[in-house]
Amino acid sequence: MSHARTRLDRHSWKQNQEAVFSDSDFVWEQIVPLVPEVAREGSRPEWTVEIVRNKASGRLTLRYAIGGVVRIYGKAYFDSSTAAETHKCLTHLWLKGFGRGSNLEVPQPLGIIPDANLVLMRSAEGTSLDKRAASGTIEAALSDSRLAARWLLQYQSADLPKLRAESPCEKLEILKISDAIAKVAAECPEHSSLLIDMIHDLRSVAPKSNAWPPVVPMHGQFRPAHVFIDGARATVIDIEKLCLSDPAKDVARYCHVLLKTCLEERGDAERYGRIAREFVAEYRAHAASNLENLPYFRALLALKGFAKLLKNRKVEEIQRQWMCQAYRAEFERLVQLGQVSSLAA
Amino acid sequence: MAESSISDSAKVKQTLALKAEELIAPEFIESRICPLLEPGAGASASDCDARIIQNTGTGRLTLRYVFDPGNVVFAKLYDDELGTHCHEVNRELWRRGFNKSGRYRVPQPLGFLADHNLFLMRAVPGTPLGAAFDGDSSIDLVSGSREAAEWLAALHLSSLSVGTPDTDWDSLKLFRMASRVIKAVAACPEKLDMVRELMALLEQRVTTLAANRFSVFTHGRYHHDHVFLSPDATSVIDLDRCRPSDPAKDAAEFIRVLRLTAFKEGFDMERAELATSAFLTAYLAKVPRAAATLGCYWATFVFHSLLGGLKKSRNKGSKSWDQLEEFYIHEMKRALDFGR
Repeated sequence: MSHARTRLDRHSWKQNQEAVFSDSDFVWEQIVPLVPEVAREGSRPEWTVEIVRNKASGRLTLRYAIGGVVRIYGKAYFDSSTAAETHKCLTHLWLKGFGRGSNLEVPQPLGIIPDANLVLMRSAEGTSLDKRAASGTIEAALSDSRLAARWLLQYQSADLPKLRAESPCEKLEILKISDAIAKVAAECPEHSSLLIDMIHDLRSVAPKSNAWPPVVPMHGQFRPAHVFIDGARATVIDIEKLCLSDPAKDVARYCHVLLKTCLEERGDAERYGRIAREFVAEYRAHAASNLENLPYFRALLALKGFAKLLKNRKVEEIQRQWMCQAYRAEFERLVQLGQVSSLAA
Repeated sequence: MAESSISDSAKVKQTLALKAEELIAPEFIESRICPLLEPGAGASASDCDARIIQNTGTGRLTLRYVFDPGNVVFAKLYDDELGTHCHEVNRELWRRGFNKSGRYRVPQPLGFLADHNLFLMRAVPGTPLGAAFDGDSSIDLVSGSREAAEWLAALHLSSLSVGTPDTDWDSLKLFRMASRVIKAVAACPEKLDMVRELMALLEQRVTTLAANRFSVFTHGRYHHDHVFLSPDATSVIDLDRCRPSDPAKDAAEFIRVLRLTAFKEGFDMERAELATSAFLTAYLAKVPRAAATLGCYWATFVFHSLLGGLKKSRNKGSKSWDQLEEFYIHEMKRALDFGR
C-alpha cells in the first residue's frame, strides 16, 4: 500500500543519487564552486566521497574530502522543499548569531544544489558530546552539558521566520507512539496489558489543557551525538526539518538519548544521570517555565524505548531484560514526577 | 489491566446498586422526592413505582419514579463529581431557554441531593429518535435527524460555558485509541498493516487541527437515543459530559452512531443517507464553522469503532464482521474526504 510505495520510491531515489554524488563531473561542476578555497586553486586535487548515513528515511548524509584537507558534508533529501528549507534555516542561523566566533554555532552553510536536493556545509569542529560523555573527567562532561543547554536556550529564542508550528495533537505524539506500540503488540501480544497500563499512566501526565508553553524552534534531533564541543565552543549539527513546538521536547530527547546510550554501552549510570541532570538544571535556571511538560515527553520517550526493546531480538537476552527494566523504572519515575507536578500546579 | 477494569466496573456497579436500595424506599420518596414536586400534583410515595433502569458500571445509575403516567421523575446517582456538574448544566440550560417555553429543551431539573450525589429531573416528552430503527412508524428518521440538528445548533450557539474546556486529544479520545490499537492488533496481528495504514491517514488529518480553534458548549454524548421527539418539542437528555469543545465532536458522533446503527440493523441505507444529509445540511447552515473539523472527528470516531469491533471480530445485528469491517473502512475514508 502507500507505505510500501513510498519506501520503494525512496530506495530508488537513493540508488540514483548515490551514483550522481560519486560522479566526477558532478563534483567538479557542482560541489567545488561552492567551496571557495578549492575553487580558487583551479587545480583538480584528489577527492573522495563517503555515505556516512543512509537510513530508511528520505535523506542521505555524505562526506566529501577534497585535497586531503577540506572536509565538507552534504545532506541530500528526497523532498526538494526540505532541502530548500534546511538550507534557508541553516543560513539564517549562521547569519543571526550562530556563526563563527559566537561559541554557540551551527555548521557553516556552503550552498545548495537544487537539482540534487543537496545542501552543503562545513564539518563541525571538535568532538561529539556522546564521546565526551563516555570518557574524560566528570567535571568536563558536566561543563559540556551546560554548554549544550545554553546552545539550546539560544536556539529556542532565535527568530526563524515562517516555521510551521506543530498542532497540539502533533506535539503530543500520541499517534506516533500508537503506531510504534502497535507493531510491538502485534508481535508480542503477551505484553499488551502492560502496554495499555503504561498508556494510561502516560495519559495521567499529559497536559491538562490546551494552554501550552509558547512554542519555540524545535531541533527535533537534539542529542549528544549532534553536539560538538571544541573548547568553549559548541556546534550543533543536523539542523533540518525544523518546526515550532513545545520547548521541553528537545530537552527530553537529549536526556533520553543519554539514558539510551548509557544502557546500550553499559555505561556508568550514575555518571550519565549526573550529565542529564546538569543539562536540565542549567536549562531550568534560565527558562523553568518551558519545562512544564518535560515529565510527559521524557515518559513518552522512555515508553517508546521500552516498547521497542520488547520485540528486539538483536540484543543479548540478559541485557535486553535489564534494559527493559531500566526503561520501565525510568518511565514509572517520570510518571510519578509528572503526577506530583500536576498536583502541585 | 483489562481484568482490573472489569472488576473495578463490577465493584462500582455493586456499590451504586446498594446505595440505590435506599433511594427507592417509600420513606425516601416521601421525605426527599415528593417535596420537590408541585404541591398540587398529589404525588404520594405509596402510588410510586420506583426502580433502577440502568446501571452498567460506568459510575452512573439511573432511577425512575412513576407517580402516574403524567408525573414521571428520573434520577441519576453518581459516584463522582459529574452529578453536581450535570445539575449545574441542566439548570443553566433550562434557565436560558431550553425549557417549556421553547421547542428545544432539556429535562426540567428538580433538584440535587448533595448528601446522596443524586440529581433529579422530570421525564422529557416524546419518543427517542432511535425508535425509528425499532420499526416505530411514528418516528421518521429523516425529519427527526433534522430536528436533532436544530437542537444541537441551538446548544452550540448558546453562550453557556460550564466546565473545563476539552483538550484536542481528549475530544478525539486519542489515548483511548492507543489502548484500543494495542488490544486490536494483539488480538488480530494479521490486521496490523490495515490498522497502521488507517492510522497514518488519520494522523495526516489530525495534525492539521489548528490550536485555539472555534469552541462551543458541547453535549459530549450526542446520540439518537438521547434525542426525544414530540409534536411540540425536541428534548435531549444525558448532559453529563457537556463541556466547551470543538462543535464537530457532537455532529460527528451523531452521524457515526446513526449510520452504524442503521447498517448493523439492516435498516434502509438510502434512508440513513437522507437522514445524514438532512442532519448535516440543517446543522451546518447554523454552525458552518464546524465543517472544517467535522471530517477529522468523524473519521477518528469511526476508527475507534473499528478498533473496538476488531478485538472480537464478532457479527453484529444482521451483519457479519467482514461486512462491518468493510463498512468501517468505507465510512472512515468517506469521513476523511468530507470538507475537502
